[in-house]
Amino acid sequence: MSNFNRRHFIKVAASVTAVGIAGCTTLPKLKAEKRVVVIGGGAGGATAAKYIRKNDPTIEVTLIEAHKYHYTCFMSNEVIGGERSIQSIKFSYDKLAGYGINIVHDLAIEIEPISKKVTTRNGDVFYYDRLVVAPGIDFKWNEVEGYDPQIASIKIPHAWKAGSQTILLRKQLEAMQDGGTVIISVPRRPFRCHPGPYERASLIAHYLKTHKPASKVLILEPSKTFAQQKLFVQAWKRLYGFGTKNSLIDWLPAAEGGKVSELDAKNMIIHSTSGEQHKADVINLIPPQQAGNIAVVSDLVNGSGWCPVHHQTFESMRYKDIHVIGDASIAKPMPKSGYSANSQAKVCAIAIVRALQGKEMLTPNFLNACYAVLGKDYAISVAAVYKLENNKITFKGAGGLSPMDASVEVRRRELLYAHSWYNNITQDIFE
Amino acid sequence: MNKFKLLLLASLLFNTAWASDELSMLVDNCTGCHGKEGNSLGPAIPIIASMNPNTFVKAMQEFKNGERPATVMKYLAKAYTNAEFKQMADYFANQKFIPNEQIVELDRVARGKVVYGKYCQMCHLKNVYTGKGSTIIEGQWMDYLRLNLSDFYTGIRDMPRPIQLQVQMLVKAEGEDSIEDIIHYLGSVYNQ
Repeated sequence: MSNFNRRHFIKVAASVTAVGIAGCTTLPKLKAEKRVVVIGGGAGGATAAKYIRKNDPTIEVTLIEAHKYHYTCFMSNEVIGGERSIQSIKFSYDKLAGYGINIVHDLAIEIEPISKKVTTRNGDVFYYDRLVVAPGIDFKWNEVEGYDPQIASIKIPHAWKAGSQTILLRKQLEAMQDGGTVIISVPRRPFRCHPGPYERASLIAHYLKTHKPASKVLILEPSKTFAQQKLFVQAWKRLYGFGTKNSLIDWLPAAEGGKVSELDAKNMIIHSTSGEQHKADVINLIPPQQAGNIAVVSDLVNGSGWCPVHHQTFESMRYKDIHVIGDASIAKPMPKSGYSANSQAKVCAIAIVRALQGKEMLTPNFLNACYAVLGKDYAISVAAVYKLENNKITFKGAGGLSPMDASVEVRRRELLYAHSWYNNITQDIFE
Repeated sequence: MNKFKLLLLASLLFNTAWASDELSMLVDNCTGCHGKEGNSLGPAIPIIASMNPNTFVKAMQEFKNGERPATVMKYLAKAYTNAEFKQMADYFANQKFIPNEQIVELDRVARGKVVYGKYCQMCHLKNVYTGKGSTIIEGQWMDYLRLNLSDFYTGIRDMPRPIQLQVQMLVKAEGEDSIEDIIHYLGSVYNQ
């Protein structure tokens, strides 16, 4: 141990001399003058802010986030199913402030990539050397006729950003009479968390099974298949009588009227593109999505509505010195998940710190681990490590899904791991 | 002079950061699930801080070649080489083990402490991983211990020979329920 320390010291001392000589001319000021601004305090932005400070405490980091608290989307389906309190998915930014991050509760409304500054709703201006844009998703409201933010906020929740929307949907389920129908309308892909709508259907069915057994969940599907379909269907058969007359879950693909065109909020009816009408007591309409608004108005998106980035650094392909991470970025084959955002943020933090130190970026690798909770003692997972090949994120076989036909004990363990995972990932993001 | 000192300080900081970037790129992937510096907040995902580095490498190799039952680790371990396992192992071995308070039954704790001292402690030395001692398990998460001991006991996971002998002796002399007593004792060790 002491040997290592001495060697390490000699190495450090040698490089001090080297940097010292070169540094005299290259470092213009000696106070901390490298500034990073992070827009968005979710899984991506909060992690990036923390890890930049962790990796180089001389860099000044400002995190701009409109809300005082963050509610995680992951595990919010447990709140909707009544398995978990809303408080348990609520996080403040107090502990991040402990890393010396300047936290500004305001909304970023403009990015100027030439003068390298961000303007907020309150009119404050923040200059940056590097900018991290982590705005998550926003909705394409014009794609479903009759649906808008106003109706969503009071009557037809999307609950695809956690918080008041999560509570609204939960309250509607509690107030619903037994025998009612709950519609979950799935958006077209890509959207945040592809398995999410089906986890939600499962946990709502779990609630109905014990509290309102004559009710059911109807999933409206805009395509032919969905993520991890076999695993979900197996769980639904085991737990909720899927495929039988008394199933608590029905699933309608596009060909059977699953593709939504119009909402009649007054009469609680959804119209499909093929002319079917679906009436319900509770409607959870999840609209199609694109990158968060600030990325759209700042021209960081391409025609798809998402942000193209260099996968080694997550720097935008459209503007220099701006990095886009998380759901807003195009990072295929990585899924749009909280863990992906967290992992991309760590890589991005290293890229930014090294760039500001004048160093070459390393070869990154990324990880994603997602759990879906499907009922009592029952969860499934997907996990993978991603590497970089030809400057693109690639999946090389180090990953996979929960197996089909797994034992009761394996599914129970996955639930235990899901909850432990949640405790650790949220600490990694917010503490 | 002041300028020079600050420059020196800045260079030191930069150098330290540089030295750890490659390691960060590797181990930051672990901490999302296993907690800050490997101190999982549990209760089913284990603390890997202060883990015996040999045990760590062996565990990863067993996950990789499918010898050890696992849910996600059998996939994730495939991404890494033995050299990378070793780097991770050395990093986590050097992190402080921080246990958390857990709910335990006091009569089980008392019984477990005695049995643990008799059958386990000679290898699982307190707060040490070197020498013949194994990984710290005092203060480890009880759910994790339960899952693993159950896998050992039911034969789903191959028990290393020394553990097998000790467990056989233990169960024969003290009964099967003493395993749960030990788990309660281990879970009771908190900031000692």
